[in-house]
Amino acid sequence: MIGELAGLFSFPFVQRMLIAGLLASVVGGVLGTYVVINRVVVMSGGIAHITFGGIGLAYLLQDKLDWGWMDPMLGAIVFALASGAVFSSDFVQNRVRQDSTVGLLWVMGMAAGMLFMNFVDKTRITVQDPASILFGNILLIEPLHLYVLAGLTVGIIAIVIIFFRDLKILTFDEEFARVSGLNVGRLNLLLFSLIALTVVILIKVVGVILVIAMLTIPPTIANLFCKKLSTTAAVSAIIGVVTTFIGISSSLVFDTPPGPMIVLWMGGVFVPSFLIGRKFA
Amino acid sequence: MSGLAPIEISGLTAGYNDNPVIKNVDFTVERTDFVGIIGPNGGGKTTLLKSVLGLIEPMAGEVKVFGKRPGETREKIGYVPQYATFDEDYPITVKEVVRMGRRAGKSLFQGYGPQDERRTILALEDVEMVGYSDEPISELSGGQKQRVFIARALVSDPDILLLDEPTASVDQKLEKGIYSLLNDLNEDIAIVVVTHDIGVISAYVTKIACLSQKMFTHNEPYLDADMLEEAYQCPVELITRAGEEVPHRVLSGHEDVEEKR
Repeated sequence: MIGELAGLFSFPFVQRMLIAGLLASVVGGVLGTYVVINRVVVMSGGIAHITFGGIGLAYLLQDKLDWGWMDPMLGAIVFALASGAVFSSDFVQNRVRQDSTVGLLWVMGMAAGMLFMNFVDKTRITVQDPASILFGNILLIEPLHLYVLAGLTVGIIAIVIIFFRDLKILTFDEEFARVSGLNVGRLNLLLFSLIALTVVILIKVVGVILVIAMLTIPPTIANLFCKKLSTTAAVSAIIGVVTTFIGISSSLVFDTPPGPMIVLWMGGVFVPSFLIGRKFA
Repeated sequence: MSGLAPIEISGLTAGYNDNPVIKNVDFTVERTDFVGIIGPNGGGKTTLLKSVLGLIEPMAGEVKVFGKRPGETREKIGYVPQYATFDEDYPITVKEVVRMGRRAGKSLFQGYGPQDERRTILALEDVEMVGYSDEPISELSGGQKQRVFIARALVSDPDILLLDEPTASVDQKLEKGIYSLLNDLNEDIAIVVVTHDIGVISAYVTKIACLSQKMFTHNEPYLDADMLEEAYQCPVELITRAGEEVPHRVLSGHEDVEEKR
């Protein structure tokens, strides 16, 4: 079985899948730590589903306006950033309950995506199967997308490192951040933009529905064992990398889609961690 | 800087969305003051604090901190928020929490240096929590957490310490510990405590004021029933706590105030 796996690893598409998976698990583990400690898991799920609308719109623009350059990933990025901005804005929060806003935009995004795709002339434009958008398909990842993923991952991690101290103050005690003279509104927008971009990367790997798993499970496990934000983020990234590697490998061996396999491996690590965690902390 | 009062509030009206919570407040805090501001819930205590911290703009009047606008003098004020607003599961150590107090006045790329580490340890020594530096904050008791937040406020070497309900979540014994700590700190800096608990505070303060939309004060370290009745809009009886070792200065000798032991 090991020999068979080693043979599979020599295929370029398998290598691309592994690289994409590892990039996604690093950035997912780090940003997921902020998602978990900031209690915005549901909002991140909302951002993921809203991007479905952006993907549908990108296909529609390719078809109706002949915008060949309008990659679905670009549509996803625009919708993700816009929803991140809405969720971090006081303007919206002061008028509608935040979880209601999430629910509303969540279904609007999904509905718009399905309708947009319905209007696309499939004889002209190849539209990805909605099921593979929802559950992910890194088998289909193209070299160009890989460069975009790598660039985004490096950029996101660099910004997190630069703003690490301020994001810690913001997420621990927002009022104290204000008193310290930090621009809380802008920092929140930055954090949500980073989360939104991370969601787009994760969608490429595990799909819209399973994004929440990659953002939630590794940081939650790490939080059981670590007493600092920096170690929580690092351990979370390591857990993500290991479970993603095992998940992709086992999906190759058992010939299953990789996304659900990765998620179940993460869940499998969570259960024993939950039982023994905090005793050592 | 010598002649300027730490906090000078004149004709201050402030609130939210055009609804003033406090009206026409005049109040001055001197360098050696230990001020207790008491008042009913919703009386505007937090609004007053936010005005001094520069978190909300006055609708009328002005607040000066050492002669400047509050936003320009952040390092001069150490602020201790009402406890229990943070997430108990947040992965952070005691030392990291205290070090946050060194952030104000630094640029984005200016990291924490050896000087910041030294001040952090000193502040933890001041509140007798240095032995817990590397503990997660979630493992501490309510009183210990409160000491850590006081250290975070002290670490920036402030000239004024503002505390919002500092003993809301601790028992009576710890409450006294925290007030005697503040009493020691008062040798060097001005202290302003906002609370709805009029019991213990009166033993330590040099000046007491009642805030209920308007400020009621006579710049003396004692409270009289008239002041309280005006603030709370109902008859008030002053009672000192049984078993209190520290002598109270509440006893203003009003004939309508009966002292009970």
